Amino acid sequence: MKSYLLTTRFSGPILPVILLLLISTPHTGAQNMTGNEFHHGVVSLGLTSDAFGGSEMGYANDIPPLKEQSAFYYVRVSIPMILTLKSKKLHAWELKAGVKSELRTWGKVSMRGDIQLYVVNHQQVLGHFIPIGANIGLTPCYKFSEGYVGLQASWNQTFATHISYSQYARNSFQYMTDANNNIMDMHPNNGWYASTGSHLNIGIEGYRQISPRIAIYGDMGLTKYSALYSGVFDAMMIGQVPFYGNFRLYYKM
Amino acid sequence: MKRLALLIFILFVFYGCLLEPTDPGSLVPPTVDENSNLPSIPIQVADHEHLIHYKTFGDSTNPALFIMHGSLSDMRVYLPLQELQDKYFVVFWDQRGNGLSERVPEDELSYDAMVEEIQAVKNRFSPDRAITLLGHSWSAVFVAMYLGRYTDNVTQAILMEPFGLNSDIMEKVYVPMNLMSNEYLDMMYSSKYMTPKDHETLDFQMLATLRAGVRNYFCDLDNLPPWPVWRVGGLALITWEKNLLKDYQFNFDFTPGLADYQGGVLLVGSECSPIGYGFQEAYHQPLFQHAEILEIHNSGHRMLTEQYDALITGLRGFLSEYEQVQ
Repeated sequence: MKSYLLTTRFSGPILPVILLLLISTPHTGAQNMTGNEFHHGVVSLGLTSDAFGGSEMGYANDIPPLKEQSAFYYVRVSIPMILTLKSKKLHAWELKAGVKSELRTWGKVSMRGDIQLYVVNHQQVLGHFIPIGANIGLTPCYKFSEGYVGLQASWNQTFATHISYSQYARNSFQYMTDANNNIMDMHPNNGWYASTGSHLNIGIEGYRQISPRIAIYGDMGLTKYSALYSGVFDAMMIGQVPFYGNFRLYYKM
Repeated sequence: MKRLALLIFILFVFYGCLLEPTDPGSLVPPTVDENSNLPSIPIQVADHEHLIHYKTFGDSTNPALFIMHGSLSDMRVYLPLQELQDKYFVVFWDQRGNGLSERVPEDELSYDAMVEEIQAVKNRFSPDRAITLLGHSWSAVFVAMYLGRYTDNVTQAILMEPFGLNSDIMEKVYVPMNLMSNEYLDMMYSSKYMTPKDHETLDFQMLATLRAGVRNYFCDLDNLPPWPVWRVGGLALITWEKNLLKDYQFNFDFTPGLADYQGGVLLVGSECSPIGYGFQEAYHQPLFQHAEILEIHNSGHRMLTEQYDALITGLRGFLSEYEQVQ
């Protein structure tokens, strides 16, 4: 069974309001009595929020041997929309592939796990960046007849990033002189750089089936970086703590 | 099982071959403490000794002229001012935590420490003679603070577009923030996978802001003038900007002692910047006993690369050593 995903992003305080409203809305024609997510035959639309705004398209499907555990795999392509629209070219995108599964169940309470690998392609003023990494998440959640709500914690680790420096970045190595005023021959090296980033997301997520073919998913929370100076761009320029938020609308094929 | 072990082994070997972002000279040029070929001297500031990157030009018996770079910069773009060596002993240095000077922690980047740094450099290059000071942008602020505290140590001072020297003045200027520039959004996007966990990554990432125009100090925001640097000091700027605020309000005063300064002051203001000519004339000129204004036409905040000829002509017209010749 095939499934597809399309997500768009926005930013601002409207996200928690929408999420709260959608999750607390009385159910309409519940079909999935286990509270598990659709994991086959889905097209989805949605909104996510971070500093840039973006959209996702994806595909998801059952993992048959684990069907009782409500496990599915997914592949998504994410595009930062504002960046793309402003620059009028596709210079950043992210490919994600992962597995999400219900690990353990205790009545209406369950523990969900999510492991995702990603690769990013990003062309910017400093060069061409290709990071690869993983995101591992755990969600203890409470299931109700049409969905679930839960706490979310995920760790994101970029294993390595390949950097091809732009001429602009290379220029910063030019014309350095030594104590005798001789120009020093220095330049940055293109290549793979180890462990370039990591952060922890902590927040809430919720899922609700609102018709036999339509379901919504949302999460929101704060991002805690692992390092002293991380997150400074948010704090310095915008005066806010780093946050994230996602909203997806699933359509079952 | 053997295949899995082989795969893990290959991954370990691959990982061992990766470059480290913190290796000197990897993402950004090395600092003087990482490359001994770079010219450096030690200075003692805030009870700590650190190496600074410096260059001097001209006869050391001439009066000393100190050139201080602005934030997110280093001496590189200011080096054409070495032409003033015909009358001055011109001293350039990268401030601690900036350029190719040694990186220092946040608690050594206080405003008081920056004033102390000027005094430490003076003690090294002109211990017994008053100096002429030129500071641009954030450094113009540090020069003003130094004037207020060491009034007798400075013969003349040039302040190139300091922002408001106290909270009241600062609240009168509106500097639009352009948080939707491609370069800024790119920097935000990349910080997710390349988090600035060390000085090297932070400085590298913030190099992009020089192309972002986050604050609009420019004539044409779509065509920013060049600003060549070797290495910016990310933490220094963040620390200085953060310390301007208390409870999210401006809370600072860099003006104490300025009214007592007897020497000449040249305030340089560009035509396009919101802290340019009109701003300097209205709010900063009255703070000094003897201040004159130099307006740089067809230029924004980056006067050195936009209108260098007009700038150097104005500087020569102000500096006393050239006046004596005339």
